[in-house]
Amino acid sequence: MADILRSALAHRPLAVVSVPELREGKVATDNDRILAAELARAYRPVAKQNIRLYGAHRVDAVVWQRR
Amino acid sequence: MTAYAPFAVPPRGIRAIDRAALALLGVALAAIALRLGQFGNPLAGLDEQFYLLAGDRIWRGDLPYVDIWDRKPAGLFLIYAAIRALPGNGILAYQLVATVCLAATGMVAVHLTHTVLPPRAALCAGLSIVVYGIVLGTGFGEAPIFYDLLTILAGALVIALRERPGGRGIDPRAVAAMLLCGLSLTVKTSAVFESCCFGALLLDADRRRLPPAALGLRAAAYLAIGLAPTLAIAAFYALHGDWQVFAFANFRSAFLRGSGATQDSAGRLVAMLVLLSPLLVPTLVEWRHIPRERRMVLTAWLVAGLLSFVAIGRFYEHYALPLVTPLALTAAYGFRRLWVAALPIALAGLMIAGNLSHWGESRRQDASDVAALAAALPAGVKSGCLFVYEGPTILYHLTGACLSGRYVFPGHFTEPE
Repeated sequence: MADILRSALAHRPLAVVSVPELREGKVATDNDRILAAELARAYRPVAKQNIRLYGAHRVDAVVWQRR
Repeated sequence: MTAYAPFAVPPRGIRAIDRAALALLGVALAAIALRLGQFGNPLAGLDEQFYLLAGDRIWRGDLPYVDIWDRKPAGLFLIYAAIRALPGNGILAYQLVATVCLAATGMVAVHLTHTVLPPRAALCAGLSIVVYGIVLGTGFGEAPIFYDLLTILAGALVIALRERPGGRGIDPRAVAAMLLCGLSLTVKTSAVFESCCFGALLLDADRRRLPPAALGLRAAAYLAIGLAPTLAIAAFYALHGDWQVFAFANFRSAFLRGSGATQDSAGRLVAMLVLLSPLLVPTLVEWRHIPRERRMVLTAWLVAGLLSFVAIGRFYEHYALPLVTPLALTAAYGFRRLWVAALPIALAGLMIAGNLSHWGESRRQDASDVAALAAALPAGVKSGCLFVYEGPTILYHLTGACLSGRYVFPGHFTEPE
């Protein structure tokens, strides 16, 4: 599924929302690594918000803005 | 212990009708009470956030699959597009419509059951559908909430036709049942199992009255009616030059997906069996007491629901919803006994009490969190685009952001395929 992630990033979105933390039991995927590299290269974090995402599980969602 | 014998029809008359009406009312009120605390919560459902976005963007000229990609049939997005015609930002509207569909499914179960069983059993059948719709639905407006209503209506028509057969001509009830199946196929492809099941049951009824050649024609007619809604949508895409995109999303992509069989999914399957045991046990115990015609329909329906559940793999909770409908109708025969009936009633009561004790808490928290996250996004996302890799899909909808390509649902990136 890396190709569809690359196609989304190729649009050079102004903002990206991600959950950088590796939740319990989650292993970093190829997509996680591709995104992390792109975020480090072209984006800066501008906000963090703790939010309920899956069921009762709360995570820190980070807003990234294109540099 | 009830006075109703296994094959006895309950006494008719004003009191029986009143009790059936009370059962219908009870199911409708339970559906509302169980949902009320979450109405308006933007995070109440995970997939629904995406469906609402896709439905909303249809009004802006976006085409499902071409501009926003997913595997779900187009009918689901059309339902959400229709919901966007209602006032508001669509969140409360889809949740209200989904609740009406869930309540209506439970009420059809009451109607189907009260004609052959006491009102208590009918109430419990309807309550089971509503309670499991909440327990397994996980969100609000998952696809089964909509297509289960179509399926139970089709099932009700098949039962009516088999229990009260018509003449040799094609029965309008059969046409309606096949059309409902066809519509359900445009909401979730896995409804193909129930559709085939109902088609076969209708043909089996026809077999008693028609010669083989006429039976073949009748089968072709049922197939054509059932496929008509999907063919209409396919023709739309073909005429717009997007047949390949449509065919890939609706058919081919499903076979490229992994089975999803993991330790997690095995755990979910076991949890599901435990969760469904209040319906499974009375079903197994009472199955042989069900009158022959109805037993045949319910058994075939159960097998179809099971195939629908197993075929997808993964065993997410809401995938079991199609199984709940025939299970509730079958378990109703056990609900004649007070102690068996007490379980769904107690479960509904406990869930309503739990909702009341945390009235709107998570709704307020979620709404505030999402509003804060949306406010933190740069103002330029309407033209500069947003990409939610992992996070609430509803952000696209609430901010009116432009999309970074047609792959929008975060699960496409973060879930193992």
